[in-house]
Amino acid sequence: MKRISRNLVAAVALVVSALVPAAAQENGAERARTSPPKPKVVADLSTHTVAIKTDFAGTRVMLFGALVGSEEEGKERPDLIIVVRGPSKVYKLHRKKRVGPIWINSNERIFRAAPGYYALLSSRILDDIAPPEKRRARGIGFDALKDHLMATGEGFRDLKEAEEYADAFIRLMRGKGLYRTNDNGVNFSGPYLFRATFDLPANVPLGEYEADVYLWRGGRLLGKFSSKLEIEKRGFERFVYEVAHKQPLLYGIAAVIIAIAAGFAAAAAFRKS
Amino acid sequence: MQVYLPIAEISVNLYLLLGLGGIVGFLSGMFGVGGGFLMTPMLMMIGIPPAVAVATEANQIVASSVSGALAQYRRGNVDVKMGLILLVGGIVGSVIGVQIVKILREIGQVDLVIKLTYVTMLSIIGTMMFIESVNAVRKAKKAGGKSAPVKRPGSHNWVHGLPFRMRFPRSKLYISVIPPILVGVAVGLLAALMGVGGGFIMVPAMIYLLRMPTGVVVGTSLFQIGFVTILTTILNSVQNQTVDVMLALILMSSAVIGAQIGAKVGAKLPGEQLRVLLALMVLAMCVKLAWGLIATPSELFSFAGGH
Repeated sequence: MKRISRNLVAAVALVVSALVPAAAQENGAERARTSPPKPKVVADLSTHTVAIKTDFAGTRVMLFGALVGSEEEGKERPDLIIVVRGPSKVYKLHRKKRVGPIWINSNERIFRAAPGYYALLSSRILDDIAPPEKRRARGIGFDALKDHLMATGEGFRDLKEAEEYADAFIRLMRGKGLYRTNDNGVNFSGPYLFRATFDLPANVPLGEYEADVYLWRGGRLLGKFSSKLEIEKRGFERFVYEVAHKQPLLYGIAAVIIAIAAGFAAAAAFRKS
Repeated sequence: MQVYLPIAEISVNLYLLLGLGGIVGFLSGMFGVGGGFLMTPMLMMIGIPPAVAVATEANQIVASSVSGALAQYRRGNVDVKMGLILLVGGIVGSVIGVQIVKILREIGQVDLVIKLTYVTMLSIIGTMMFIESVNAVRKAKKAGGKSAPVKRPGSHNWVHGLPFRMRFPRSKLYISVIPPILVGVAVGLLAALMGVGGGFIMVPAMIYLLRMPTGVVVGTSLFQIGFVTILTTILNSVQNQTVDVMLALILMSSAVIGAQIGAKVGAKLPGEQLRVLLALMVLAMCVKLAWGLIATPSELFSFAGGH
């Protein structure tokens, strides 16, 4: 008896679940006909590849775009939050400990997947765009990044320690200019067009970057647009780096030959003079 | 103008590097020292990762030592047999040293060990140099301007009692091969761990420990340093990928010019007083590095070195 009833319940649930999406779709199509479309955002980057060459001292990339379908009467202009995220890497962090008279690195902890770059740009002060807990829930901003760091960290004794290391990590990355915030980073020109700039410092890690544009209004997330950016070594730098890592023996021999040649060239030059 | 160093993976001001190379080259030309023990700590101070600074500096020393050794060889100032024995030790020391660096990189203590080694060596060398040069200045004054005569080392010491003796005709020696091999090992270790040629250890060891005639000391030490730094460069490239040719080239280009000017200036200036100055400089650098290890850091957290 019990088994039958359970089966019945399961069967009903199956039928209902099959019906509900169809009903929802119908409903949605109807609404699309009657109400104006939801605002959307489209954007692009001023460049999709950044080449690191000999004279690379950092660069500035612009993200520009437009709001589409946001011209509803009486509604305020949407807000934008842009997150530019560098490639995930493994980072090891030490805490200095005093041993006798000197400070040594100890208590190594590992962050398995921390972005090598993180820029948070917004059109207004973040708290005015959306409450912190909402942004955090959507994985936007440094609170969410900290959650992510703590979740992907390794070797922590307790939560307090994980938090200390995550805070320190973000602080160090900010110090290097690799993590940055700009409340005034997204600028509108007119009601639809916007642009944002973010700086990539000279020590920027190589790899694939993702720029996500989040559209908010009234504390609600309306949409998202993603774009990609590649940062790579080019020319002589790339050549040197690749040979050093792929043909290390050849690289070493070349380094020696260059040095010997330079030594003899210098000796010859000064013997004549 | 900023220049991006592909292995150190940082941008550094080109003129700062050229200036650094020039100054260290000038000092090494003036005092007749290798300059590695001045350059490496300075590179660390401007933010080059210590492991890269050490490996690159060893590469740079190849330039000056090989051409120097060949010039000495032409003048017949190289005891090739002794040089080869020293080299055997040097190879062992270099291989061990590069392995130590590799292990230290893995456990994240390479910066500390390199800095500690530097503090230790610089304090010893600086103090010895200071005492020796101050004494030389005093003696020079007493002797009415004449430079102090070099103390002739005695003909026998404990070294001569060791087994495995070998004849070194060029140096007119018949001694055990153990001390030269050990000296070679020490120099090889220093090249790998400190990015120095090690002349400042080898030259006194050759004179006072092995009792080699002073005429062949410089040439033979350059011979050994040349080969050891070549080997260290290749080993570091293979094991640690820490040799930055870009950085080495920039430093070399200004260091050779600095060295030539330094040698000309040094010949005209009073040597003893200059050595006091160099000793003070070495001690100052040592204090700076030591302070960095002792002072309570403002930031307790740091990234582990390496990649």
